[in-house]
Amino acid sequence: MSAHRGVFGCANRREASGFRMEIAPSQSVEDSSRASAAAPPAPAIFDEFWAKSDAGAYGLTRAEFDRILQRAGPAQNYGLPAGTQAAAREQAAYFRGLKLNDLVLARACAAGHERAWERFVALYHEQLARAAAAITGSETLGREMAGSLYAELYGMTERDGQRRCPLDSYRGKGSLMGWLRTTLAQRHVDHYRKRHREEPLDDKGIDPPAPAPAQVEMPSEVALLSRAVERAMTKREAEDRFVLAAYYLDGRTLMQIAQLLRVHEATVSRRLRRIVEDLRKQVVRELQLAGMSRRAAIEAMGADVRDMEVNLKKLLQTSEADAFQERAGTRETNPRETSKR
Amino acid sequence: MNSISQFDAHPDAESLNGFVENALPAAERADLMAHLAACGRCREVVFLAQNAARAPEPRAAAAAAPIAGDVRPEVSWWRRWRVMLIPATAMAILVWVAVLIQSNRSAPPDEVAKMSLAPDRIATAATPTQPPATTEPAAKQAPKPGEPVTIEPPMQARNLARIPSGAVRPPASAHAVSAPVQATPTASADSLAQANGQAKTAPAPRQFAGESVAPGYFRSGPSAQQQPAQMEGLAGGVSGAAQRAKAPAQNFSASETVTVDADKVLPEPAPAPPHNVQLDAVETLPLNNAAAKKSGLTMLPSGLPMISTVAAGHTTLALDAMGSLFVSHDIGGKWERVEGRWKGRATKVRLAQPEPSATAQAEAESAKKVDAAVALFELVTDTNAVWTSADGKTWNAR
Repeated sequence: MSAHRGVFGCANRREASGFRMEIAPSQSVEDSSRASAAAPPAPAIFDEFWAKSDAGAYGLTRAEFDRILQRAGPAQNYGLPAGTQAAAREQAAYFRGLKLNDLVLARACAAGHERAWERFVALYHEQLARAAAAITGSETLGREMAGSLYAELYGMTERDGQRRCPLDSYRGKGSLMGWLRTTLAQRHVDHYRKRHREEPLDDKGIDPPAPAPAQVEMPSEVALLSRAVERAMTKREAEDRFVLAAYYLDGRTLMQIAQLLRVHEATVSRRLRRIVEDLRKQVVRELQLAGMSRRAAIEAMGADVRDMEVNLKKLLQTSEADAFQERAGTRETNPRETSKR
Repeated sequence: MNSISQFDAHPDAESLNGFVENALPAAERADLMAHLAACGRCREVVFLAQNAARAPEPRAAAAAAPIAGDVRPEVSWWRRWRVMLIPATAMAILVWVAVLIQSNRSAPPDEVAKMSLAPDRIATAATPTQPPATTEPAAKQAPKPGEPVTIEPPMQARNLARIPSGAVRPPASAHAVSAPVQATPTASADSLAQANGQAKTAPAPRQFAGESVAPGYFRSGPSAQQQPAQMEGLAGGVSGAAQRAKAPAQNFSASETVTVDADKVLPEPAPAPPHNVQLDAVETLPLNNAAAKKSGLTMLPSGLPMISTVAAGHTTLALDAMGSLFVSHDIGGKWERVEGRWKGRATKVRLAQPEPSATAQAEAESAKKVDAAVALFELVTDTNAVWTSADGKTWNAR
């Protein structure tokens, strides 16, 4: 098995965020396992997994199979919070929750076993092409992107003289096909963002930048309303903000949001309605706390949103990577829009 | 400062895929949700991955990839043929209806004969209210004035106008008389004229011995023994009767017949008079109005028209155009072919005729004694050989 360089070195961030950050396409779990202080898993557990898996069919030896599991478990601390020692039962439960067959196949492919690659191609070749076509919206572009990923998965790329395989970053939580789809989606999104930034300028010439707009004093009521909206939004739960962002910013349908959250479409609809109603009540309460009467607060709710300096996008997301709708030019420009923090 | 601004890196594909497939623990999922609420890029990734996962997949048997641009969804066989079932069913129904209509139109000849030889209807059809428009009594002896007539006046009257020329039958054999029809010559002529709307004629009708044939229905014209000199056309049916009445002296004996060459004369579609088998044997096949209107021919099971027929009691004999003999014991309801031992082709069937020297009274007496079941039949071949039979099935050379 080829040695993979590259530090997975996100231990600190992993502890802070709770999930692994993506730093490099190819990541190894060897260093992470060494960094972890988890005890090695008992070999007896691996007998059960070895019997159920198809590792032998892929050309893996028992030793290689054990090595794969020994790396996967400690890398995630067996799904337990950092610093928690995993017992044998917890280790077994962790391994049983993994997609072991997919994990073994991915690692066998990353190790370069031809039989594993034959199995991989037989299973995922057409599915990958279909997924890429669905993501890109074009079968031609999809096949191109799938082919590019194939080449990268097969280790055609090298970094620092070492063969890199993105399959090493697959840890078996979800299905391997799902991981491949997500990888394709990431590449497509990143490619679109990159291409958007590199759009050529107009041949007619570059217009001089517009002068900075004059600062206009907002009415006090509108300013209070803006701040009230900001505070109300920040108090919402993450999932509420996700639903608001997905629906109002990304333009997702109720069905799409419901499928992702694994709830019924009507549930999402009721939730949105409830969120908006709660926001309204919260804003009125904030305005009252700011010194406005209830009647005045309600009247302030009827203010023109264009007069407000509330950037919902800024409130809902602070990432520099804006949504595609914004890149596509669907963002409504507001000359008076400023970011307030 | 917004807490969500702390994250400036994105989760890897493993975490995002775990979120999509709901394979993350609760804590990790909550953290990722907080990031997704703030990161439009990762939201786009997860929605794209989810849509790609829900994209329709082709069939599992993708070994033989379909031709590009020619992908057709597999349709189950019953769906392919389901559309064909509707027109096929409609076509089958139309064909069945057409067959039924065709079969109803081409009714078997025995059915027609059955309708035409129904004695009950003929016997019962005569009502007292009907004018006794009888013409030729079928009794062997000369009809006596004042004696009742038991023929069916309405049918006679209606069909009198359709009597073709030369279709009037002479008196039949005297042996077949069971209940001779006695007609009042004067009354019959008058009634006949009245029924036809003609002027009343005074002359007495022709008297026939041993025959109760109404002058209206002589179906098998060629086989009918005719008296050409006494025949009138359709319009002259009444006048013919009148002429006959004018010649009361012409007493036709039961044995007097008019021979018609069956080879040359084709049956005419002329309706025959109603037949009263109880009175006498007739050598014509009477038809009711409906059958006569439909077709003037009686078809035998051989598919050939009837050229000669004789009936006595419930037994009816008939010859087809090829000389094949058929017997029916239900007045034409069902015909049975009779294999004869005669040589040549049979051309005529009739009741057994007495000796020419026999007197009319003797004939009438002998006719009374004759029961319908033991009536004697005669068959004449093309070589003029005469064969006799008691039941119509067993024939002996005379």
